[in-house]
Amino acid sequence: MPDFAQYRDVDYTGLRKRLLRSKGNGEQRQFLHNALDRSSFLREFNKLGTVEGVSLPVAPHSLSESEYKDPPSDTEQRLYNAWRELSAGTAYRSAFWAMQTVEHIREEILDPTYLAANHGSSIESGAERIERALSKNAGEKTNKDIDDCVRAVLRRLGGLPESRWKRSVYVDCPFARAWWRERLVEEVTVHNTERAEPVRKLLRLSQTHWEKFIDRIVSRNSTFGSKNIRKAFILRVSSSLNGAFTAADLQKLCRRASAMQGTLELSILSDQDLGIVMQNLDISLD
Amino acid sequence: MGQIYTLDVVTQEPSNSIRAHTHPILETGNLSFPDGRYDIDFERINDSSCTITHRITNAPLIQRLVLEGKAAYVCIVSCPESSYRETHTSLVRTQKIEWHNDDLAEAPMFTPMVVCIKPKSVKLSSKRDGLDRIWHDELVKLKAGARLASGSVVYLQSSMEQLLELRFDPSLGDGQMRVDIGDEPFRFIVNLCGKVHRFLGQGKNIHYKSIMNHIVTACLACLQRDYPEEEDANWESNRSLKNLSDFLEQKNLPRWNESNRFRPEEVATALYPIQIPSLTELEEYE
Repeated sequence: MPDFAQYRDVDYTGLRKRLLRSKGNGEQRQFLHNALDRSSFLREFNKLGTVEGVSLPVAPHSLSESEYKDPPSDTEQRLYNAWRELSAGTAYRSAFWAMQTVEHIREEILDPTYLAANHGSSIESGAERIERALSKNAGEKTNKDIDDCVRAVLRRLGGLPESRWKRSVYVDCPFARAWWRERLVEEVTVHNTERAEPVRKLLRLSQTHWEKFIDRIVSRNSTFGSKNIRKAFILRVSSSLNGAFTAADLQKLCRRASAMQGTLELSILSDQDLGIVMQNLDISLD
Repeated sequence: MGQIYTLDVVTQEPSNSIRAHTHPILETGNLSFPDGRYDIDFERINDSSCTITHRITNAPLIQRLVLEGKAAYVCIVSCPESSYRETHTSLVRTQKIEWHNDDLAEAPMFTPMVVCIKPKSVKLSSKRDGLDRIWHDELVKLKAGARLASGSVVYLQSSMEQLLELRFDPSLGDGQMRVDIGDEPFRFIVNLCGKVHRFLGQGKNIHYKSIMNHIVTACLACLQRDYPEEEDANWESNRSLKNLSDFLEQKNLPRWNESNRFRPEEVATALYPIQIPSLTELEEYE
């Protein structure tokens, strides 16, 4: 498996830690100023040491802010197909995704201000958010706004493990999220396109749904870490999906599946037997 | 071949948990097998393989099921941070386990167990099966996947020394060192001048411990700086830091973010006490 080009872990971790040290300080303000200008932003990141390796291609066309924040399904599929050769051991790394994101900025696929954009369908753009935070007089509320803005940028760059731990890579960085989500689709459906769409629909229900599920997989040594168990679970739930299905509903079903694992080690079962076990999963949500 | 570690993965402790499950399980906190013991010999072969030898004693039910081919030894290798969890099954008690480091974000965890692989109904006898009498004459239906023995998770990296990565840094002057924190995976990167780097590679002696003293003090000072006491601190989600915290707690030492108690040099010298050379050693040195 090739090594992939990325920032030196120590350098990028050091940058994040310096930026998080104090809310609203000069360093945070300068960082946001730089984000308003592509050249200045790139200069900041050119100072970081890099680890040599294979460079992945950038997206073939520029992305709008909303398309970047929340890529449509076909965009995520195209990104994954272009980055398929990535290993999981690289794809969990903030330092790797930060470099990918910066390269997209360098190639003018993205604007650095996109990184600061609010979630959802907020009218305020990332640039407007940065300018609003920087224009206020100093004070506790202003410092918090500046800090929130910096954290938003860092989360989108490559995740913010300092405050949201490793799930942040999977959940907060749009490029990493696209890769991990499509990887999960591929793992579950094994190129069976009939199954792919309902699975994709389940995994894309909302940011909250995705985060709750990822939390189950990466934040604990759990049932859902096993590929065959999560495959059987996802196939079961996606094939039964109809009507409203909240993130709380998803958590409920995850807990029920985990309870089945209580005295049974499900991962040793064959796919067929696992399928039968999951058919017995109570998916009623009353 | 590496050193062999023998680990008790089930420890008997006071408990009233005997009928916690529908069948008896040899696990910590469960007195179904009152004299039952489960330990493993763990031997690291290289950085991507190991052997585990399972040893179950005073639990004849489990031993018989394995001999009959109804149960197998299992070791689960997991790294939740990169969504990795693989199950390795063996009909013999020594199993060689391999993994691909490209799939792993951090050092893997190992969870040993004995699992039923074919369904079996058993009428239990407390005397014959080594069980508490509460199970006597019970008819249990063991499903495929039912856990019969469940060991605690084995972590490879928990002590200070295991988290150190010693590196030669040509930019450092004679006798100098510098410590950085690496995040992916978590470790202390100890940058050393050539002489010190070579010296530490020669094995342990009184001067080794003295140098380690400096190194560990610097590492702990980095932790104190980068992971201070905060309400929303998420460091406990970092497996290596949690293990290090447990390690310090076992030694009755304060944690790096206990600001009123923690002094890096004090904890470092508790772990690596300053040693005064004997007169003979001093004479040899002169």
